[in-house]
Amino acid sequence: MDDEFNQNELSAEDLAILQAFDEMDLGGWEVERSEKGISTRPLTDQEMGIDFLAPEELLAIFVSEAGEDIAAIRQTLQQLEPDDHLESARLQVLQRTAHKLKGSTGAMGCTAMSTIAHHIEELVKLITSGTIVPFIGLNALVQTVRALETTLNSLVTSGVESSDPLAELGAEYKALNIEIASGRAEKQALSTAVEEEQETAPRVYAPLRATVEAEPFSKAPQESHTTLHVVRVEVDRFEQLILHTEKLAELSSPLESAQAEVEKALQELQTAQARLRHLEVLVSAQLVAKASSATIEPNGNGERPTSSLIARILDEARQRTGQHYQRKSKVATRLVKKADSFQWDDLEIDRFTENDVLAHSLGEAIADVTTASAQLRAAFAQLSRITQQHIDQATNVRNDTLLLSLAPISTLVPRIERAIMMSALAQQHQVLFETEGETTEIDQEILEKVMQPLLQLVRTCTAGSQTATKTGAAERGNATDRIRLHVHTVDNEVNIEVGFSMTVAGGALDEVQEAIRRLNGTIVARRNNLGGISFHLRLPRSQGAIQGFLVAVGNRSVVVPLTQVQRIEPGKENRGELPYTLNSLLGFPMEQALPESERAALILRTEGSPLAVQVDAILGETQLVVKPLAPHLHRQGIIGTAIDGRGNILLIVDLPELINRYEIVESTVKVAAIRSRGQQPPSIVQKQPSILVADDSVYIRQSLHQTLSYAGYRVSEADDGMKTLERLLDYPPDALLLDIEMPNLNGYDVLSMMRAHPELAKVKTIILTSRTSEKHKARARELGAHAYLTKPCPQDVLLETLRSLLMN
Amino acid sequence: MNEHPTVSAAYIDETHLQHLEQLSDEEFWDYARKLAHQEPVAAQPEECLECTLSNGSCLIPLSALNEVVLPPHRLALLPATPEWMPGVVAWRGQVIAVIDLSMYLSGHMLDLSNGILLIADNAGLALGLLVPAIGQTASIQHNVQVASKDPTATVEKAEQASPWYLPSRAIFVKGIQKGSLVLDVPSLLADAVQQIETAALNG
Repeated sequence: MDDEFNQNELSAEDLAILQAFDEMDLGGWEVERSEKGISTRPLTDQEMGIDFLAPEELLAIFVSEAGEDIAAIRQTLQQLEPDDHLESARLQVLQRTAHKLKGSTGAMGCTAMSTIAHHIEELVKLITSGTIVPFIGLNALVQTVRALETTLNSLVTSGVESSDPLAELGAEYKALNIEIASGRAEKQALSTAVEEEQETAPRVYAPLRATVEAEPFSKAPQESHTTLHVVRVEVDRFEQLILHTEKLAELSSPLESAQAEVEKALQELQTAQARLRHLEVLVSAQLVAKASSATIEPNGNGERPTSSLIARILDEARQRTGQHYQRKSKVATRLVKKADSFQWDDLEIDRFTENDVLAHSLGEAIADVTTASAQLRAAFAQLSRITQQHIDQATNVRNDTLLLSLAPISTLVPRIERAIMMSALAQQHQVLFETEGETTEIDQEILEKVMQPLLQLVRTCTAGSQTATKTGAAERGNATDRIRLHVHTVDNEVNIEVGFSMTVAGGALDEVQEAIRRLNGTIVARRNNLGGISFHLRLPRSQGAIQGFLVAVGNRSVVVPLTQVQRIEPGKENRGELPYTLNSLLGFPMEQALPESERAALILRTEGSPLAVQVDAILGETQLVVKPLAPHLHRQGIIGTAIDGRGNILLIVDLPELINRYEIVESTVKVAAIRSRGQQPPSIVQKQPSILVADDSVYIRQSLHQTLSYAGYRVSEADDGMKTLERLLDYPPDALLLDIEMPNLNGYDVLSMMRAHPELAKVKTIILTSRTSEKHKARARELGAHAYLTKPCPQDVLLETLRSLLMN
Repeated sequence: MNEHPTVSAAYIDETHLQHLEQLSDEEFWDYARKLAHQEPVAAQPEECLECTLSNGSCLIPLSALNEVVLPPHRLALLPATPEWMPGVVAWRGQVIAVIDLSMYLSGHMLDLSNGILLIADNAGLALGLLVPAIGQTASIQHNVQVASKDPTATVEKAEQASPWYLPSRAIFVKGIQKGSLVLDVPSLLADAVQQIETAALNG
C-alpha cells in the first residue's frame, strides 16, 4: 500500500478543508506573506474570494472535521471483526482516513494528534503485513483511536493539545509488544512464557487499573516467586521421571494381582495338605485292616508282603527252614496293642515291614509339607506387608511427581485480563474482573491446553459488544459489567467458572467444547446470580489418572468415571422407566445376562430427569492411569483405556456420549426400517407433540407458533440459547426448532449442551436458519441435529420434516 | 596382481585405496574393465514368515514385524469396529488394534482363541495381525533381473493362481510364492487403519 499522501484520494470536501487550512496560513500571518514577497498589503476578503474566519471559527471547523474523521475511523473499526483475516478494504479506508487526519492535524500544528494518526497508518501496515496478529492489531487500533479522541478533547477544553494520551499510548504498545517506531512488532506468540506474562500483565491492564489493582490475584505469582525456592529441571528429564513414575504406579496392579495369585496358590496348597492328611488316615486305616486280617488268617501264614521281592525272599526262607515268617507291622502292632494281645517292642526292628516304613515316611513328609507351608505363609505375609509398603511408596512417589507438575491457575489470569481489556466490551464499559480460588493448582500440561479455550471463551463472550450493551450494565443502570473467574477443587477435579453479568455473544461454548473434551473435561452453561451466564469447566486436576467404578458388562469390565455417576442403585430397586443397558450402549454382542431385577444401575448426574444405566455388576472403585487411544481408535463415548494388573484393557466410558450415540443410531435404524417397508408414518394427531421454538426474532417465533399450533402441536418459545437450554431441561419437548444465531448460547452451543445431557437425546432437533452453506449443515449434523432447514422455509416442508421425525 | 580385493561401489576403505595406488596403469585399467563387466549383485532376498490362514497361507516380511506373541491374548472389544477387527490388545504399554488377517483377506471367520499375534509396524503405528498359525521362515527374491538358482523362489504373479482372497484385497498381494501370498504389509496396514477410522464415523 502506498503510504505517500496522494491528494487525488481526497474527496472534494477534504480538499476544500485542506485548502482552507492553506488559506488560513496565508491569511493569518501577514509577516510570512511579506517575507515571501507576494504582497505587503493584506488582501481584502473580496480579493481573497472567500470569507475569512476567525481563529476560533477555524479551530471549530478543524475540531469538527477531526471529530468526523475520528468517528469514521471508529465506525470502520467497529465494522472489523476480530477474525484471523481483517478485511483489507476496510483497512485501506482506515489508513486513508488516518492519513488525511495526519495531514490536517499536522497542518494545524497538532503534532501529538498527527503522530497518533500516523500510528494508525503504521498499525494498519503491520496488520496487513502479518507482523502482528489481527486481534492484537485491532485492539491496538482501538486504543489509538481512544488516544486520538482524548487528545482532541484536550485541545477543545484547554485550547492546548495534551501529549499525555500519546505517552500512554506508547506504554500500551509496549505492553502489546508493538513497536511503531521501527515498524516492527513482535508477533504475539500464544505460547509466551508465563514469566513474560507476569511482567507485562500489570501494564496491559492499565485502563482497568483502578478495578484490578485491588484484586489479590495479581500479587499471588509474585509472592510465590519470592517465597519459593525453584530448581531448574530439564523438561525431557522431568517427562522421563513422570513416565517412570507412571510405570511404577502401573506396576501396583500387577503386584496386587500377583499377590492374589500367590494367595490363591497358598489356599490350594492348604487344600492339598488337608487331602494329604486325610490320605494318611486312609492309608493307616488300610494298613490296620490288612494287619487285622493277617492276624486272623486261618492258615497262619500271615500277610502276604506287598513287595514281590520280599515275598520271594520269605518264600525261599520258608522252603529252606520250613519256618513261617510272619509280618509284623507297626500298624498291626497298634491293632494288636489295642487288643492287648501283643506288647510292642521298639527294639524289634525286624518287625517293621515296607508298609511301616512307607506309612512312617508319608507321615513325616506330610509334617514337613505342613511346616514348609506354615513357613511359606509367614514369608508371604511378610512379603505382602513389604509389597503393600512398596505400593504405597510408589503411589506417594507418583503423587509427589505429579505435584511437581502443578501450577496455580493464577498464571492464566493476566492473559484473561488482557483479553478482557482488549475486548469491545471494555472499550465501552467499565469491567470488573473478579477472581476467587485462583491459587488452585492444576497440572501444567492441562493448564497449557486449557488456556486457549478459556481465552477463546472470554474473547467470544466479550466480542459482541453491541449485544452486550443492550442488556448489560447500561440497561440495568449499573456502571460496571462483571466477569468472574471462580475456581475450586473437588477430589481430583478442578471446577472453573467463567461468569458474565451481561448477555454474551453466542458460539463460545461450541468453540471450546471439543478442546475441553480432549482434556477429559466437561463444560456446561448455567445462569448465574449476576443475572448473566456462567460457563462451568470441569477438568481433571492431573493428567493421566482417573477414578472410576469398575463395572462388569457380560464377561468384560469397563470403567465409569466417578464424576458421571450420581449414585448406584442395587438390583432390587424398582426404577420405573426402563433404563439403558451398558451392553447395548456399547453395541457389544448380548451375552447371558443377569435378570434385570438383579442388575445394578448407575444413576447419572443430570440436570433434568434422572437416567439409569444398568450394568451386570459393580466390581468396585478403582484409580487407573488413562491410556489415550490412537486417533484411528477414537470412538464416541470412549474416553480412553486403562490396563489392569493382568494386562486386560479396560475401556473408560463416557455414558452421556454413549447414550447420545445410541439414541441417534436407534432413531436412524427405526426410520430406515419404516421407510424400507414403505409404511406411512403413524398418525401424530392422537396426542399433541410439543415443539420448542428457539429464535431471537419475535416475528419468526410468532409466525412459527401460529403455523405449528394450527397443525396441532403444542408450542413453547425461547428467545436465546440459555433460555432454550433451560426450557429443554425443564420441559423436554418432542422436537426443537433451533435457530443458530442467538445471544448467550447460539444454536451450535445448544446442540453441544444437549449432547452433554443424555436425557435430551430423544428430542428431535431441526435447525431452522438463514445460513445455507454446507459447512454449517455439516457442523449441525456433526452435533446431532436431525434435520436442517433454511429460512425462509415453506410451511409444508417444515411440517413434513417435523412429521417424519416424530413418527418414531 | 591377479587377485583384487572385492569392492562395493558404495564403500572403499583405506586399504583398498592403498592397493589401487600401487597398481600400474595397465593393472588399474584391467581392474576397471573387470569391474565394468561384473554382473550386478542380486538384491538381498527378503526373509518372510509363513502364516497359515483360513484358505491358504501368506508370507509376511520379517522386517515388517516387531514381535510374535503367543496365546493367550487378552483382547478387549471396541465399539464400532470392522468385523475383521476382534478388538484391541495391550502391547508394551500401548493399546493397539488387532486384525484377524484371515477374515480381512478372505472374509471367512476362524476360531482364533489359540491364534498367534504378529505385531506389525506401520510408520510407527503398531498393529496386531492375528493368524491361526505360523510356519517356517522363507526367503523371497523380488529382483527378477538376476537369475536365481531356485527359480521357484522368485515371486510369481498373483494372477497365476486362483485367488482365495477377496477381490478388493488383491492390491495388497504382491505375488505368490509356492502357493503363499506375498503381502504388501505397509499398504495393507494403511488400509486397515483407514477402515478402522472410518468405521467409527459410520458406527
